[in-house]
Amino acid sequence: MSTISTSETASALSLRPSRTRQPRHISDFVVSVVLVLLVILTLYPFVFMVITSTKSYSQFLHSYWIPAWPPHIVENYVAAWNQIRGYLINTIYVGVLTVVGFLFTTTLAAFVFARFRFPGKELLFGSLMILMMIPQILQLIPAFMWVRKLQLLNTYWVLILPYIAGGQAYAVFILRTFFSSLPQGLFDAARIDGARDFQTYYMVALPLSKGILATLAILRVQQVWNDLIWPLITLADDSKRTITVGLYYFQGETQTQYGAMFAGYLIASVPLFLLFLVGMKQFMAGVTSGAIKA
Amino acid sequence: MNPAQNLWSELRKSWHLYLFLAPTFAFILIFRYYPAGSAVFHAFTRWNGAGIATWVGLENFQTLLTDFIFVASLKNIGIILAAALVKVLIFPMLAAEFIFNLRSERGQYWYRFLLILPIVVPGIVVTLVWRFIMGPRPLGVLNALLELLGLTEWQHAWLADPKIALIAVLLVGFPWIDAIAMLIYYAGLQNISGDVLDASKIDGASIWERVMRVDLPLLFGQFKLLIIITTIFTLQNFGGMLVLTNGGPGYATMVPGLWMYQRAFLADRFGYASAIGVVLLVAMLTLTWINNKLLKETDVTY
Repeated sequence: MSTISTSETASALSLRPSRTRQPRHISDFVVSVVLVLLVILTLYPFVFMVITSTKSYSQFLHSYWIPAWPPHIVENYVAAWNQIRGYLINTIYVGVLTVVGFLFTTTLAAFVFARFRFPGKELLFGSLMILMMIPQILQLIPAFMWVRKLQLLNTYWVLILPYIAGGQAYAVFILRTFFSSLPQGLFDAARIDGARDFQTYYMVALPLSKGILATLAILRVQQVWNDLIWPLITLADDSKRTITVGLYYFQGETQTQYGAMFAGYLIASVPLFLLFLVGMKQFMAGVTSGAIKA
Repeated sequence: MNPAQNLWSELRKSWHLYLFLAPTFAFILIFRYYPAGSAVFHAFTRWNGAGIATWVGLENFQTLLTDFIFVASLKNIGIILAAALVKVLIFPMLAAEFIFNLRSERGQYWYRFLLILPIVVPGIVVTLVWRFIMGPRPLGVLNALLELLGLTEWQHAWLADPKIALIAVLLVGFPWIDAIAMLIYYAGLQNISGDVLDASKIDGASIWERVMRVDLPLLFGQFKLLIIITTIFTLQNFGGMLVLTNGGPGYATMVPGLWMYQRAFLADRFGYASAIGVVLLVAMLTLTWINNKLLKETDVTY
């Protein structure tokens, strides 16, 4: 019932004023003080990163805690950009192809499991769901041997194909619940208009599930962005590396250029930041509803 | 029509449905089922990755019992898992409660936004920044802070001192407000019906009583979910440890996943490493089963 909860949340919100107008025992002031403290502690490491990314090495040594003048923004960021640009492009390329393949396969399968009856349905669904019990770490080593045999090492496909395969069970589970909750009338109407099964998939089911698709896409991109071990062992070729592996090696190359190092960290965070800015509302509702209610 | 013919006609009628399922099943057969099966098989072999694997029965598992680094890694992961569970059950929940108790809608939105913001920072950056924070004098942030406060005797080579490294690792991420967990708690609090909250107010319950008697029991589902997610995540994710300490100094912060990785890719002992993977699988299945058993049938509704 992953869909419902947005409306439930909305109704919870509309109920709020009636019960918040009454006096409370803790004032907003006290709560705010605690929250401000938590926010400062949580964000401080990143604030430190931003401030340090504007300093030269000697500025960093001499004014460790506070911003220094003149800032070395251009110098540091250009140096960092030149080093990690290639990694960023690789990651975006891998991320886009992964998400397209991932959403295409999972929506098709979930659609079939949600709206049709056919022989072997329970068995097939069960054999997919059981994957949720099998941790990825179990297969790390044989998967490496296997892609080596398939001669995929040092190609983008060595990332894309396993990334599409990972997380299928979870996504199909969430999407099936969503597709099941769509009113049958919509599909009947489309069918009367002459739509075939595949047409009801992309004309009825997909357009109605933009929100949940956005959430799944963001989660997948975030996982691709953050994966370290798999690209570390499968990509020896530096020109193919993703951002996470790139940064892992990057800090080793720039001995004392702390400014450029932190600038690189910051640049690496920008694409996900933009993605979340676009999808934040969707994501806040989607993650919680999908995770809890499905 | 006999049953066989019946089935045949049903299959013919729905052949296109199998076609829609084919991509998903092709992917999971090739990249999930086959490697997972291969892992279980190779756990019972000696395998250097190049030649043919030789069947050795339970030898790898017997060796594991006497491998003192592996035993140490089990102890470490036990401590890390216990700490991770305490962290995820308390800190994001407190943050969600504080935000939920704010009267101002806008305040609720902005505090939520600010505390969620760190999820846009790639995991590797978070880890590298924390490694820098825990770094040696004079540039490590924690040591610099202690210097500033005049607490020089508290300064340590946090990640390089075998006696302290594990504690330093546990401190990473302070104050441990996991964004996703906080969102999950917050949504749980929002879903508590307004009637229940109003009723508790009419009964004259203080905020404290309401939190203890209403909020916490009604967040049961969220606690359970986060326990399972955190357990599985903590047991298998060793990327953070690889970057922070690489299991060191010595093996003071070694965890089973990292030991598996090192045995395979640094020592070419792929069969032995597969056996560690199988142990982790069994551990995760057992813990998930225990969680479900202990935390069952207690769904609270008012």
